Amino acid sequence: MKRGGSGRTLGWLAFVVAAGALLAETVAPVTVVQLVTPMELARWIREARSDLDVIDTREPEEYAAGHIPTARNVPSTRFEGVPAMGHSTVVLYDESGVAVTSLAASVSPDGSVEVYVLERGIDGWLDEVMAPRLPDTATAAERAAFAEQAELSRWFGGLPRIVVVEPVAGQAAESLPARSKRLLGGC
Amino acid sequence: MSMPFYANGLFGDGAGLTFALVIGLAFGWFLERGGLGNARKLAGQFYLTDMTVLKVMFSAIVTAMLGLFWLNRVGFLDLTSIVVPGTFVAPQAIGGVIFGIGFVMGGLCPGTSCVSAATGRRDGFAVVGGMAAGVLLFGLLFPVLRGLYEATPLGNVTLPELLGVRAGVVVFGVTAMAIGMFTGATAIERRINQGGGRT
Repeated sequence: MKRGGSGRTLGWLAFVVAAGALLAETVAPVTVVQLVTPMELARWIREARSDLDVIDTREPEEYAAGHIPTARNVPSTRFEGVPAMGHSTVVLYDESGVAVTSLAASVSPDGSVEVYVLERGIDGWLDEVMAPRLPDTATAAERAAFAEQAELSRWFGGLPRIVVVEPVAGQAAESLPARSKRLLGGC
Repeated sequence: MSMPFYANGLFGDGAGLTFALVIGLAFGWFLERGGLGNARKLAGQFYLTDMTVLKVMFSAIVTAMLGLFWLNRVGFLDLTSIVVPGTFVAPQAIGGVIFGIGFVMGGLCPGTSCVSAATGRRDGFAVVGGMAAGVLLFGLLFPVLRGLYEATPLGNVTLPELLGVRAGVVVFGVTAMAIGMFTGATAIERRINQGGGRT
């Protein structure tokens, strides 16, 4: 009897919390962050899109050490909305593309500007644009797809490489950087 | 600092694995204390005499769903950093049928078989062994099965994206469904057990 009573109470509690979720979304929908891949951003930059504003939200010393071409620096610690520059597309990035998502909503509260977050941040840019790699065991289709990536990479001064895979199961001849391993391991 | 802590750099690899171990042990301990290391109890689900499995699973789904929704809503969790596994309709439907057949035959699913084996039950060891053999067989046959494995992809979709509604609508709908199923399951359980008692 007591057990059935507590079950009913928990059921009602879940119902109230879920009804609150329904109401909360009706009152103020959550802003969905749009992601752009490093390859797509590289294409936009090469096309010299005049409507594009790329913003590096890392600290000035990190920006000075290396940044994506055409990006300007607005550190997240001093980020109070983005000074209007008349662009219709804004891309934000940081080290890994995680913390910057919380800034995206403040860029264009009225939705007049398309705001994107760079997938995996500068890490993704370095891995996919500046140092893309393809195992020598890749299929013809994968090689064809890599050709375009390699061509784009060279345009930015990157070093695309074919990585030789040793015949030993599970062991690559050239291991990926530790940072890439960690990101892949998370999946 | 917002969650997930590992993705945001608050936990390193060591701390992440330690927490995973602690959470895994706690999960196993609670499953065992809930009686879910016993194949007879789990098999009761298929005979409609014991609906514990359904209630536990839906309780877990609703708890996690409400937690994720509200933590994201108050800005303590970044949902875009949570990995959403890809959906492949045909292979996952076939996998579900194979999983179901194995569940009925063994009376245990992967998690509960580990719990059962950890408490020394021989049927638990048998199911864990079968599971390992299945994984090995799948790995060996993967070149043959690859076409099926990658068939009918839908991408990393979530229910709100698939249904074209806001997350809050799905949260409310799934919770209402779970509450309805708890009520219905309890009624069925009572009716079946009372009927069995009379015969």
